[in-house]
Amino acid sequence: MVELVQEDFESVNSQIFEDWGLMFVEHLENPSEEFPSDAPVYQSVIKFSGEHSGHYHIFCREDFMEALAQNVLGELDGCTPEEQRDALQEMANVVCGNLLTKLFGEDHVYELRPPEVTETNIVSLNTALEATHCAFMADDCPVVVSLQLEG
Amino acid sequence: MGFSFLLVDDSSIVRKSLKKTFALTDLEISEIHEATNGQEALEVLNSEWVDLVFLDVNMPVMNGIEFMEALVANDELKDTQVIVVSTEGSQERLDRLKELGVVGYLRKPFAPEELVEKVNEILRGVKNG
Repeated sequence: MVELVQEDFESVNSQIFEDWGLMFVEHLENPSEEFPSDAPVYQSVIKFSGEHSGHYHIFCREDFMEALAQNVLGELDGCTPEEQRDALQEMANVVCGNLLTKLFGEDHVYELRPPEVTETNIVSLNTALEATHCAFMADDCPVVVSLQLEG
Repeated sequence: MGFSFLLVDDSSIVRKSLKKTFALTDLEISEIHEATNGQEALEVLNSEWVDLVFLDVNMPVMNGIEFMEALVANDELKDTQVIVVSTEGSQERLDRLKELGVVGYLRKPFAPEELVEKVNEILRGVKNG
C-alpha cells in the first residue's frame, strides 16, 4: 500500500511539473546536496482538510521559481518576484488538488487553503525528507516535494 | 464585435496565462475582465456584459460554488455561461456545479488546445442563440 502511494505520489508530481510547468523532469537521488546550506530555500505550502488532512510542500531554489514563472507565462525576458511566487503557489495548488484525487479517490470533498510561499532553510527541507517525498531535477533545478498527513 | 470574457481566479498567474493563451488563438475577443473571487465576479457581471465566465472553485471570500448559487438566484445573470477551470476532483462538488448550470469543466493542468476547443464549442452555442 505504501509503495502504491509512493508510486502515485511521484507520478502525479512529475506529470504536473511537466504538463503545467512545461519542465523536463528527472529523478534526483541526493537532494540535500543540491541545496547549499548558505543559500535560501523557498517552500510553497498548501494545507488541506477533509477525509484526510495535512499539507503538501514544494521546496526549491530561486532558480526554479524563475524558470517556472517564465515557462508558465511564456516570458523569455524574465518575470517579477511576485510572478515567481504566484507561479510557485499555483504549482502547489494544482499538484495538491490532483494528488488528493489520485491518492484518495473522487468521493471525498477537500478544502484547500490558499498556498503560501516562504523563505526557509535546509533544516526544514531535511525534515520534509522524513515524510512521504520525492526529489527531482526540473529544468536542471532541484525540487523536493513532500506530503504530510495528520492523524 | 468580439466576445467578452471574465476570468475568476485568485491566482494572478492563472489569469495571466489564460490571457496569453487567448492571445495566441483566433478567438474574437473584445474584452477580458478579471476577478479574484466570486464576490468580485458578481460585481463585474452587474456592470459589464460577459459572454463566458472562467471560474475557479477554491477561492477566498466567495468560492466557485457560492458564486454559482448567487448567479442562479439572480434573474438577470442566471443565464450567464460558465466554464469551471479548477483542480477540483470531488465528484460531489462537480455534480453540484453541473446542477447549478456550469456548461463545461476543465481540470488544471490542461493543454491550450483543450481550452480553445471547449470555448469554441460553447461559443458556437452562444452565436446560434
